[in-house]
Order: sequence, then C-alpha cells, then structure tokens
Amino acid sequence: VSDEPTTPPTTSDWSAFWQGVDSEQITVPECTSCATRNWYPSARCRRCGGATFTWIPLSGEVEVYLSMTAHRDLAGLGEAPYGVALVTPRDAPEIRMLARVEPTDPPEPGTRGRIDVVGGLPTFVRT
Amino acid sequence: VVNSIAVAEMLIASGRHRHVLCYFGSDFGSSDEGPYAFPVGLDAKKGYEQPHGWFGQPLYFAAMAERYAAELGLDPRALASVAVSTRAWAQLTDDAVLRKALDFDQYDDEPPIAGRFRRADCSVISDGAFAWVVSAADRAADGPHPVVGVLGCGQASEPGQSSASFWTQRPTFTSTPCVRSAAQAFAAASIGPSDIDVAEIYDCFTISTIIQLEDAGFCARGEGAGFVASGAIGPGGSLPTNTHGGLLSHSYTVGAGHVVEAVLQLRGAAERRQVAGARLAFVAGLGLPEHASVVLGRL
Repeated sequence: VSDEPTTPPTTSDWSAFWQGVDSEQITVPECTSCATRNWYPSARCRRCGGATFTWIPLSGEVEVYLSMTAHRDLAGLGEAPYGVALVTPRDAPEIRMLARVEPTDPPEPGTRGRIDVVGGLPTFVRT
Repeated sequence: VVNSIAVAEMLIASGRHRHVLCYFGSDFGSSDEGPYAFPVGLDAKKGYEQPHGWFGQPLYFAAMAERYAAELGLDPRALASVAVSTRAWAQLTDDAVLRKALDFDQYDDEPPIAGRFRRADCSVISDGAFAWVVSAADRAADGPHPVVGVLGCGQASEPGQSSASFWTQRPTFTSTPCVRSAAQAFAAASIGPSDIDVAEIYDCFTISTIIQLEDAGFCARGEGAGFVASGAIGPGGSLPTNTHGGLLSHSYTVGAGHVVEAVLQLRGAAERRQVAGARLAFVAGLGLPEHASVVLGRL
C-alpha cells in the first residue's frame, strides 16, 4: 500500500523476547504510537515509523500452522531428532511464532494448544 | 542467476553492448560450511529462529511441503517422483555429480532429513560453474551454433516481502512469485505453457519443482503432485523437466546449469538426453523472495 512506509531495518535485539520467556510469558513488541504489533521486532514501526515499543504478553493460545521433525542437527543445537512448529497465536493471528514440539509426534496443521516455556524454550503443548 | 538474461537483454537493447557474458561459479561443495554459511548473518536467525531449531534450507522448504500437504493434499509418491525422474535425466548426463541409480525403493532407503524430506529430496551440494553469452540478434547469426533467442523474460518479488521480512511470515507457503514472473515471460513471448517442449526449473528441493510447475501454469494448483507422480517430467514424459539432472542431481549451480541445459536442448546438442524436436524452453530461477522466468526458443 502506497501510504505505508518502506519496511525499516529490523533490530538485532531479541533480549526483551527472551526476558519474557524467562518469566514464562510469550511477548510481542507493540508500537506505543499506533498499537501495531511488529513481528519480527523492528527498529521502527512498520506502520507509522514510531521508534518506541512495549512488549505485551500474549495469552499463549495458538493453532499449529505447520510442524515437523528435523532428523538432523540442522540448527547446530547439538540435538537430533527434534521437533519445530510454526504457530498462529489466537490473539495475534496476523503473525506466526516458532515453538518446539515433540519430535515423535509433530501435531497436524490446525491443532490447537498453547505455547508453554519448557526447558527455557517456547514449546507447543496440546490442550 | 537466471535474471542475468533479462539484464543482458536490456544492455544489448540499449545499443551500448553487443555481447554480454553471464557466468556463475561456486565452491559450495568444497568450502567449509557450503550454502549454510550465508544465512547465519541475519540477526533474527541467531536471536530467534536458530534457538528454536528453525534453521537450514531443508527445513524451510520442508515447511512448504507440509503446507502443500495440508492445503492441497500431497500424493505420498509425488516428492519421490521428482527425485527419481530428475535422477533418470542425470544418468543420461555425463558431467552430472549424482548419477547413481535411484528408484522408489532406493528413495525409501534414503536417510530422513526434515519433515517429509529424505536426502534425495535435497539439492546435491557441489562446486560448479557455467557461463553463456547473450548477443545482439544480428551478431548471433554469425556464430557456429544454431541460434537460441530470448523470447521473453519476467521478474517478480513476493508481495510484502523484502530483505527485512522473513520466511516464517510468508503470505503463502504453497506458491512463489513464479506465478507473476512466468506470466510476464509467456506474455512477452506470445506463447503459453502448453507450447513448451522442455522446462528447466530451479529444483533446490523436490517440492520446489512441483510448486513452480503449478505457478507457471503447466498444471493447475494442487495438480502438480499428481502430474509429477504420473512420470510427466522424466525421460519420455509429456514435459521433460530438468533434463540435465537439475540441482537435485547435476550440480548446485543455482540455476546457471538450467540455462545452459535449455540452450543445449534447443540447439539439439544434448546428446543422449536430447528431447526430440525441442524448439521452446522455459527456465525458472528461484531466490525467494524473488523469482525470474525466461522463455528461450530456437530461431
């Protein structure tokens, strides 16, 4: 859309997200000017160009967009197999977030559940 | 890489250049991390994706296969059919890196990588280089080979995508900007997909071939899986595709091999793998979020 600003560079600072995870919350940065949730985090709001954000907690309720088992240590985490999912937050359907899943039983797209923090990582759990 | 043809065409049309050399070479096979080296630099990968285990091209494209299966249904034989058909072409190509026989049973024995992918669903990782020359039409006629013309080019980018946006947030996982780049190329050439004799399609993974066949209009959305499972893209099929063995079996030359193969087929110089009477070729280059399509023809 022509009246929207060009996508600005993203920020390398994910520390606020991981601080949320440490306190068992899944958070996203919301622009303090226009309330747009910017995902991934951005140095400037993709909608209004604003430069300040508040990290707001989501409910954690999600729906699986896709999930799969990685049979190799593709991410260099020193583990294989492992499971990974892309999920759609019920209260932020315009974004997708990552979560770990049980590698032996990756959930089908559309499966409902929640993101819990397990072992320091956002993890999909069926509800 | 494929889009270099469009750039060369413009340089020649400007009248400032008569011949343009296009080339590509890589040491992905012999360098330490190969193609895994380049995406690491993005902060979001290190800061967010990698800790979740979301890393590596096989995983990104396996995600496309998962969504294809969920949205359109994926014949369990479809991915294997792409691998088997493409390997059959490689077996007819003397300089292909992977020429070992691959049938469906051997495919099933391949080690799993991610999601539905086995090793044979993934591009071979190799060194390699290709080059070609694009010349003004009046000069090309002086050359020693039958002339292959650039009949149409197209370029497109994913809507809303830029270098600052991310694979996980793609608007769709079941199509690519090939939809628009192919439409541009076919319109410029005043032909359609059904006129094409040979297709050379960027096959970094088996699912990439299926989705771009649909994107370009060789079959309807959701019918690509059945199309490849019927044997249509292999030797003797109705749409010979990746006739040198593609990225899956020939070499990881990022589309350059596809361009040269199209030219060889149109010259009638493809030796044992020659598609009889090939006069029109379609070449697709994928580098998400971007895509380039080219129609080449024997003049």
